[in-house]
Amino acid sequence: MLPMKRSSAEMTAAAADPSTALMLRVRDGDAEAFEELVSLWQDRLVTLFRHHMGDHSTAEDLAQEVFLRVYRARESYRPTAKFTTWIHTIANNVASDLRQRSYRRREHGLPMSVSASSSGIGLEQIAVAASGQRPSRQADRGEIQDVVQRAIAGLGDNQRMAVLLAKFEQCSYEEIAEAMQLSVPAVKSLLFRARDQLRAALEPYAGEGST
Amino acid sequence: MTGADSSLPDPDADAARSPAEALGPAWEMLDVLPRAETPPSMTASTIAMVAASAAGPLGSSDPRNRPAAGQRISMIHWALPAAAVIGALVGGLILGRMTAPTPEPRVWTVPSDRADVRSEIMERIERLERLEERDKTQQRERIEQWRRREQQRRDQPREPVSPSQPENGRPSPAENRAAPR
Repeated sequence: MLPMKRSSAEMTAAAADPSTALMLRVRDGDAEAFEELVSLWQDRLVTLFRHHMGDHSTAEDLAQEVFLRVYRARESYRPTAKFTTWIHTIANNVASDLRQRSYRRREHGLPMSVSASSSGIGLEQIAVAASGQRPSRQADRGEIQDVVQRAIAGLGDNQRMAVLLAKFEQCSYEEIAEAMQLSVPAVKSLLFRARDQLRAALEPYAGEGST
Repeated sequence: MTGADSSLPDPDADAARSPAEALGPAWEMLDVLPRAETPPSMTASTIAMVAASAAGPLGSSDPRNRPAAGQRISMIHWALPAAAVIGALVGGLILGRMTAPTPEPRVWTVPSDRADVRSEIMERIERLERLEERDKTQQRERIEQWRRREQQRRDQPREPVSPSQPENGRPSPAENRAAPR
């Protein structure tokens, strides 16, 4: 199939970002480009969802849902923004949709399998537990990993997504704001408050995470 | 969105130039979180799932692969007369077969065994005819011989007939009565 005629802006965007170039090929009906795009992004998305939802199999399902939405929206794709921001927006929407469904299930008394924050494990509890069990020995990496995961799970949904986009996707304030459909000051506020909560939970282990 | 998420930005948060600065010491601790490594089979399963959800192979739902509206109209414009012509041809063929008389089946070949039987029968018939002809000839000859003998007998001179003997050689009734039984 012949590719669509691309504008100079599209060609510039494709040259600047490999994912954008792949997505433009997907838009033109190139199935091989879609496979490359999946290979390029699935680990990143599963990582994001794994820490956002706290469950690996759910993360894989959500990543597949993102790719499905990407494919369905391929014809309307315009590289006005970075592909990274576009796919983060889709990922955030997918996560929000799942949360909405989970909340509705909870209202109807059905069990839900979202994050620790949704299941009632608060940062305060984690912090109390951590302060009461301050390790006299140096905690091993697995133990710290578990504590950090619990701390992340204790954040609010939007706080957690903002932190994960910043940490794992190296997104700027602006990119996070665009992906989450928030203002930049709102994102800054989210991250600032997340820092306070994480500091409270992780203070006993401070300085050990990077060792 | 929680209430904290939608709160106004803190002046201290504004001072942070990047998310890393905003998160402070927690930023480095997040490094312990593992990054997912999906199996290669997940790519295939994702492609299969997307293909199935898109109801067909990738690319098939692309409207650019389908003919344009003008092309579709043009195809319909030609397809209808073509279908009518084909229908008329098929109908005529069926009608012709129904109305035409069934031709006599032609014998293109005679089975070899029948030909042998037929020739043998013909030979026998000829033989019988020859025999009949020969019999007729012989019968005519015998009849002819008998006629000649009869003629010769007639031509022979007659002996004198006795008075008591009738001319036809039969005894007279008086003689018949005197004869012993």
